[in-house]
Amino acid sequence: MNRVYDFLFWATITALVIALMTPAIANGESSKGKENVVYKYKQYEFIDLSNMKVNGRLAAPGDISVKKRERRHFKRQLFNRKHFKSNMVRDIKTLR
Amino acid sequence: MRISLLMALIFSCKLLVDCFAADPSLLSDLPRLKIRKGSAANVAKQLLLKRLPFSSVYYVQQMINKTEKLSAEDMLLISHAAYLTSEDYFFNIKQSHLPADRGEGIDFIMGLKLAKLKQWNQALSYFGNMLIDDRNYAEGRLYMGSIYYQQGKQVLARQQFSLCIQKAKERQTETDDRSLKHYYGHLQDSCQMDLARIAYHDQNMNAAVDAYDKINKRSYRWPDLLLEKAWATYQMEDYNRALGLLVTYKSPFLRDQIFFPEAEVLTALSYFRLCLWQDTFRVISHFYRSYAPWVLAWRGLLQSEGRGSDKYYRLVTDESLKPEVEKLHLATLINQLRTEVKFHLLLNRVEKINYEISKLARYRQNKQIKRLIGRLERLKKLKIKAVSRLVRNKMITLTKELTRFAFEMFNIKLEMISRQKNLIYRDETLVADRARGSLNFVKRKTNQYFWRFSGEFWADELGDYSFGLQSNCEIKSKKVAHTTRVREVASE
Repeated sequence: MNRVYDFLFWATITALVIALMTPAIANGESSKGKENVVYKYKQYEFIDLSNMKVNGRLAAPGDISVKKRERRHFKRQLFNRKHFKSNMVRDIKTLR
Repeated sequence: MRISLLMALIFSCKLLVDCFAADPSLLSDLPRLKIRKGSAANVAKQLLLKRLPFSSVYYVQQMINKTEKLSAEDMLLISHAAYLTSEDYFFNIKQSHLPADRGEGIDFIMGLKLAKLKQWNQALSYFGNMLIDDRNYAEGRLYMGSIYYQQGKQVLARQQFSLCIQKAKERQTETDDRSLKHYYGHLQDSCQMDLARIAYHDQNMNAAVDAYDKINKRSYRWPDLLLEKAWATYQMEDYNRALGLLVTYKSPFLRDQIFFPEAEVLTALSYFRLCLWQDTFRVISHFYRSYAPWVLAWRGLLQSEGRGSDKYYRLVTDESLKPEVEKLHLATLINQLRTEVKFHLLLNRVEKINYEISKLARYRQNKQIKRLIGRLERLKKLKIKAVSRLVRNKMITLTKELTRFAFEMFNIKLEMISRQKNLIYRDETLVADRARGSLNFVKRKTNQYFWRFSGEFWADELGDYSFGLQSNCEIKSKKVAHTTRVREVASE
């Protein structure tokens, strides 16, 4: 019985040692294989949007386009004399 | 006995000396003004007979206040006193004082009183009741026409003005008095101008111009009508004629006499309608440069001198204050005031009151004379205040007008900048390479002659000027002009 217990004890210890040793070995292997990685992106890419098709439907109805139109000109109300009522009153007041 | 006689003699001598000491005028050789005591009406009559009308005013007013119903004789007295002094002294007449059958002049006084109180319909009824032989009949019709016009009754107004012209003409030919001739001439021209104004209001510009043309150039109303006639020609789109009429104000004859800020605005507008931007800018900048100091000076004076101040009267009448008048830019304003009838009448009354005071001073002075002189001094003060008020009101009116028209000028400037900006956006330009003026653009009637203007203003030509400017409003595209030039070069 004691042998069985000894065996289990030693087996456990061995398993623990192996488990602890494995990452150290892995790290040691990766440090050896470190290289300078250069990422390269495309400098120019042509996307043909005219051929693009979007399937689906508009969530909000409405026209966001701007139509070409003439510029609107706002005219100012320039001074214009429609009658001389005030002049007539002035004449009367300056008579006597 | 002797002693008592001597005592009586000494006592009477002392009494006599005391009397002379109390009133030294008793010693003078001056004549006495003999006015018998009696009713107010009686005293007023005596004063009128002695040619002291302003002294009689107080007694006539007393008579009106005391009498419940005025008799024909009383009304004649009031009318006579009003004719010799002023109608406004007798505005204390109440309607209840008057009988149904009123005498000459009373209806006119009542009409004036009610018109000043702005009780138009009642004023109309009194003016309408005036007798055709009344010396103020034409003036009554002028008032009636003006009231009807303000009420929008143009047909009735036109009738009244026509009656005014007819009656004033008759009276002018009948009278030999020079001042009365002037008065009726003034009324005639005023009514003629009002007829032209009605035609203008009705958009009948040809009729308006014809009506203005009936007024003689020698009339006091003539400088006023130039602006109104220019408006009529402006409405007819004859901008050259409008500019020609307005340039008359720049002549040496009128330059320092008349000042209408509105004339400057109309000049700028006429140039603007001809699309002559640079000329419009020039007029606008001249307006601001010239009149801004005037407004500042007048505002300063108005703030420092209140309503009751006599300073305004002194500025008008005192020659020693001329440098101050120049400094305050008041010379043109005062000259313009001198052409107004009311101003002339007020100054004339102050002079007449002064004359009456000096006349009374030649009589032997007693309590009655001193009282009369005291009353005349009070009347004179009132008239001086009225002159001051008139000058002050004129200054206020012109300050308001200048401020208002400065805004209008700014508006024209903005509109002009806006149009120029639009031309740039469209890549267009105005036709500006043509000649400035030509006789082809002067519109003439059959009764108008042509004389070339060479920088001299001739009296008989005043008011008949016309510019010969061609409208610059034609637009041409810059692109078209450019391509055309290229083609021309290419063809060469």
